[in-house]
Amino acid sequence: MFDLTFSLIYLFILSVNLGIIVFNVSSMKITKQSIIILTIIMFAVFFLSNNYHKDQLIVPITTIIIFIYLCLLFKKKYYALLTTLYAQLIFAFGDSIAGAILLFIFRIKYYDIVNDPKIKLITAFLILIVCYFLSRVSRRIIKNNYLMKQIKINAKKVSLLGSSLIVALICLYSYAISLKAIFNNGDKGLISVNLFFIFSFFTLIFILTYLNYKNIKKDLEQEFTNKELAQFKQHASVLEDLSNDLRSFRHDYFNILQTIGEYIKLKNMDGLEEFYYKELMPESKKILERNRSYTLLDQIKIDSLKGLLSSKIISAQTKNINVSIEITETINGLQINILDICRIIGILFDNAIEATILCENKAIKFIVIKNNDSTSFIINNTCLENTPPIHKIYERNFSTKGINRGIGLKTIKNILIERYNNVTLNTSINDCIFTQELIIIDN
Amino acid sequence: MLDIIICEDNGMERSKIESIIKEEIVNLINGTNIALSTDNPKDVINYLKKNLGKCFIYFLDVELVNELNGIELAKVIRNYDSKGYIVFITSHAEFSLLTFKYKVQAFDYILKSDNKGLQSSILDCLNEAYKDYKSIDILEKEKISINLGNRIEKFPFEEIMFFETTKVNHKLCIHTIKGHFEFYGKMKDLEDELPSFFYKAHRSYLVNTTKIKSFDKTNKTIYMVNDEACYASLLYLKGLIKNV
Repeated sequence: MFDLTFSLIYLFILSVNLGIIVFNVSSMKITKQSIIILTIIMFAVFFLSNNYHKDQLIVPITTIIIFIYLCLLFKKKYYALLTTLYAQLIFAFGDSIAGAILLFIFRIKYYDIVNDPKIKLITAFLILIVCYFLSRVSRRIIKNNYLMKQIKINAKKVSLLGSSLIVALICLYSYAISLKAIFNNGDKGLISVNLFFIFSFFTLIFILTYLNYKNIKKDLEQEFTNKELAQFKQHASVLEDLSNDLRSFRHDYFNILQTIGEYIKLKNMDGLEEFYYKELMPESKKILERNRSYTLLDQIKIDSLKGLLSSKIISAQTKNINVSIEITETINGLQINILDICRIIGILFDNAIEATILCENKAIKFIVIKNNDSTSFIINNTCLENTPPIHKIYERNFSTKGINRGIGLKTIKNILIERYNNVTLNTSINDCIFTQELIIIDN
Repeated sequence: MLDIIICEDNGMERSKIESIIKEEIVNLINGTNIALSTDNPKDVINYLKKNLGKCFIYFLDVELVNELNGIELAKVIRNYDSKGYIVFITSHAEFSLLTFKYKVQAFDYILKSDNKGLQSSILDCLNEAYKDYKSIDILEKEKISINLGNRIEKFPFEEIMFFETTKVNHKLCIHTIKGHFEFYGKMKDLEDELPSFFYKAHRSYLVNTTKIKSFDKTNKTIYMVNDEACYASLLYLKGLIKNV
């Protein structure tokens, strides 16, 4: 009876341990409830395999169960796979560190660790503590890395990493099983050699993973710079067009002055009047109103944001949408990550284009306002009279024409919830004008 | 009563505006006149300092050639007179009214065009401003002012469906018939400020009970008149049914 209680507690600690590792390692948010459910499932698995003396099955079974569970939770295979593998590796690593501490520092015999229920319990506690710290450390490394967030978008690139981790886990697992047999002999020399192998193995895995991370990161950065460069080229060519416009206007201006001079010379006031109202006014109006607002983009001093805006505006203009820009102040730094603001503004612009393209009068107004303690980005566009109300747009999978517009707004909300408490998003529809407003408050 | 302040540095334009206003004032409610007409923004500020607590209609030139341009002057004005009606006058439409509204809660925006257009625009502005000024006391009681971070917006109770907490601490979301707006605050403060027909149906929902369309008891879901759904908790259910 006593033994049973001890072994139950032992198993319970181990399952809690797994739960905590998964919770710590995952860079996507997991609710406490789902972690508790996972822990309970783990406990059942541990209990059953312990009961039927099939300890060697624990690792494969738990790996598969955690993977499936995370898949169901996140709906992202690669991400679930990586998290599962990491959790298992950290468990294994923690296990061997705890073993080493007990064997070499506290000089406890391996036979006792395996068979004495009290020492077993202490071992489990030690593993828990070690794993907790390991997972916290790795979480910090991963959290600081922008990569984990990118993985969510760019999952295929991690298949290499995933497969190398699987191989690592399988090797480690089979190695551990054979180790157990050796450890029972209790030869200290052999044990230390084996521990040395495990440690070096882990160091290698860590270094490899790190290098892999770096490579992927480099790739992503390269991709980003390429895109930025393309956007800038586009921006430059538009500016060139504008300056050509100005040059031809100068030429016209000279001709106009000459024409007026002729009328004055002949004292032909009626002719002058006709020329002024019928030709000069409409023509100059056209020139003055054309594209002028585009140059205001230069007020934005964040290069990648400027590039993105420029490409969005150009793509809107090619779709015959009238885009006007109003920026009153220079925009320098923003209290938001540049990649995030680009992504958010990109989504807002796409939403606006998608909605206004259905209208008769296609128009988008983009406004940036800087106040004493906030910067606001406002995008409003004309939309159809029968556009559904805002709350319908937020509902999952909603879209006005097949493209996942609702998902876009949901994505923004998630970015804001996860990382920013100084940014708010307002959306409204009023008199067939759809307005999206992003307010960044300076802390 | 609502007096008028003009700041325009082009003398010809200024006298044109003055004469239009003088002409129209006669037809409007009596007791109103031009309190100040100047080319210097400093005069406006000094005048406001002497007349704190009063509310004016302002006609400001956007392109003042001074240390302060029209927008900057409007910002200063807002420190003294938060309710006043600011109307901008400009010769070229680089920015739309929206920008001015966001920046200084401008009331309107007039393009310097031909005389006739200017006259009718000014007349419209004056009429609208007076209408708003007269109804302000009644309407103010049926609105809630909320700081959206970049401006203060007044939401009429009539348009509000419910308030909701978000996953971010102290960030709340107001759901109106027009859309969703996020702001920082506490549910408790809202509850205290709003009239009693706003009922806390759930830990995270404060519902306008006059806008409830139907109620699904099994799912504890409240449907509003615009078909938007929010939730009630068992704890507050009884009170809700009583309140409706």
